[in-house]
Amino acid sequence: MKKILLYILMGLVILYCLFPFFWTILTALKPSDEVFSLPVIYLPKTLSLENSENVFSKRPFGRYILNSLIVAGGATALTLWVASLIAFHLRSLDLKKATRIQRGLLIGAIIPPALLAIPFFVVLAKLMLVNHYFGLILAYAALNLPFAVWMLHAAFRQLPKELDEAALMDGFSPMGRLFKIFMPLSRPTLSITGVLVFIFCWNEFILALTLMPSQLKYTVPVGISMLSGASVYEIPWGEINAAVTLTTIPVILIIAVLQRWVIEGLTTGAMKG
Amino acid sequence: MAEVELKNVIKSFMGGKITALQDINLKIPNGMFTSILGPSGCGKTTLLRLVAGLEKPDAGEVLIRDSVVNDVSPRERNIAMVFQNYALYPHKRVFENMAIGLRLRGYPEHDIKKKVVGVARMLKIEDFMERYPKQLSGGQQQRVALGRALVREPEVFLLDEPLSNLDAQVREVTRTELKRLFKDLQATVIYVTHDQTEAMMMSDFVVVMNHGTVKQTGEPISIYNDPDHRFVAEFLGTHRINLLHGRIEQAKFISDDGFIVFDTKIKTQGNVLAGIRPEHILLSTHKEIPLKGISVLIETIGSTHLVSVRVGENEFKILTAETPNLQKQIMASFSLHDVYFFDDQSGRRLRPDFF
Ligand SMILES: Nc1ncnc2c1ncn2[C@@H]1O[C@H](COP(=O)(O)OP(=O)(O)OP(=O)(O)O)[C@@H](O)[C@H]1O
Ligand SMILES: [Mg+2]
Repeated sequence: MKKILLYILMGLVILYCLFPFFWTILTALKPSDEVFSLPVIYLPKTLSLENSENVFSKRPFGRYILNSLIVAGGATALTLWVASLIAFHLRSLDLKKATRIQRGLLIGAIIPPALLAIPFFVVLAKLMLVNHYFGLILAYAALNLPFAVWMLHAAFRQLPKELDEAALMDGFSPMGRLFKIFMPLSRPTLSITGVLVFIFCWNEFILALTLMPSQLKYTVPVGISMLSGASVYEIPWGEINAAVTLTTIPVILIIAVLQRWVIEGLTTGAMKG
Repeated sequence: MAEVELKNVIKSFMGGKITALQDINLKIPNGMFTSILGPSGCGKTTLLRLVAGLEKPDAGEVLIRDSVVNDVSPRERNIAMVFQNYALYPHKRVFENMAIGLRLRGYPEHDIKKKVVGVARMLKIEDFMERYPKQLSGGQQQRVALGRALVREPEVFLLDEPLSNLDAQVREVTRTELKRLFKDLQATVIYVTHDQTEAMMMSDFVVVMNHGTVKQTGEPISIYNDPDHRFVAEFLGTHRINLLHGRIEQAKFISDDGFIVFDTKIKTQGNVLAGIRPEHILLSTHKEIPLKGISVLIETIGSTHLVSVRVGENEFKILTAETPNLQKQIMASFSLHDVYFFDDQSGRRLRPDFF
């Protein structure tokens, strides 16, 4: 009896969480006249790909997705790489000192990204990196570093110190220890951190808009916000929802691939000797 | 093969709050199996890590083959270490665990293969080469860790209590195997242990440590028979040495309770501890110093018995093959040259020809 109740409650929670997403998908699949009809039509009477086609034909949406992939992918790789280097060094310091440095980093993370849009723009403009992928990648990496360092430092600290020392005596160089010992053994943390950083970059709007304002450099969120109808008063809900649905798919795929490692970490985490 | 030497080495932790080693002077002979023996926390691991180069001494010098290595990095010291928890790479197979040290030193692949397989055969782990460390038992992991050290053919082997995680039976077998292995290799081995049996059985040379200082060094048998310090006498031996509080007046030993009095050759006056090992007391009156008391406890260990005999206010343990009765009058004896005298304050050995 208790179990049934639990399942019902769980079902309700899932429904509550996923409803907006279902609604998005359903709207995306409706022909345009059904989107606005009153009373609301919940399940589309006819399924149509009209919205999805429009998204790609009216706008270079493929290009936006590519932009997003480059920026989010690049920023994730850069963040993990730099954070690993920092965390590796922090680990070699004594815990008190390392924690103090880490706390300093975290202060930087408290500032809302929107507040940093203009400073970032000024700096990147000086570096001639506005409208360049690398500029936005740098900005995203800077924003995500404190969090990533925090996660990786914790993971590196968990590895027994003797493992590192054995590697040292075996003749590994410092970079060898980081890339051949620390990082492979911290794969679960690396993948969780990577997923979260990627999602942040994939969804980020204000910096993407500010730092890559040229049309061809729009990322997906910016591209969606720029979708408009024939007049100011017409909001193309069907197309917006189709775009959102299409651009969520890459994220889901990436998580699905990395999930294997995340779960591997959860089940084989305990490591003796 | 190389000699290892420590000169006036001092090491402390937490900015000097914890002194792990104080003024260590030590010569570890070339090509010998040397045990560092001492109770937990006495600084054995710290000493080993200093030789390995994983810690830097606060002061003093570490020498390998007569050259100071204080500023030489661990990987350039030509040493190999077996850690207490083995520290195998969990994400590499056994073969790779053993081969990686050679690979990083640029050996050609067929040499690596030959060496690893050779060592694996010697250690009887050749069937596990494709497994991950997690898929091995503790004893097998221990062999792999040892194998990783052996393939490198270093000048000095450092082993930190490699048997402490094994169960009693495996430990005994491995103890014998290790001794034979290193005897054949004629390598310089520094072996850390807190188990005196292990140290006595395996080593050519023993270093006894306590509270970050070296108490005595020498061959196992000479340390056992001729301890320099009360601590050494107490720490070595399967059965704890009997210690008797008393004083020496005009070369005569008088126990605190006045029950035991005998002549000695010690010239010093004052409070002392007399130490006598359980196996040196006979349950007969053949020896010159008699001991009369009541048996209060009998502990049987295989074919021998450890009898506790109450004499005045003291209790003596006596090792014997006979089976005495409980609560009976016991006549025992021992001879003067089996008695060690220690200064009551410093614990230092008092010898007959002291002055
Ligand atoms: N990294 C460290 N930081 C602080 N104190 C330490 C550190 N390493 C060792 N110590 C201290 O130094 C002393 C000696 O430690 P060490 O590990 O050498 O002992 P040990 O003889 O190996 O003991 P065991 O037999 O338990 O392994 C101990 O008091 C220990 O607490
Ligand atoms: Mg230790």
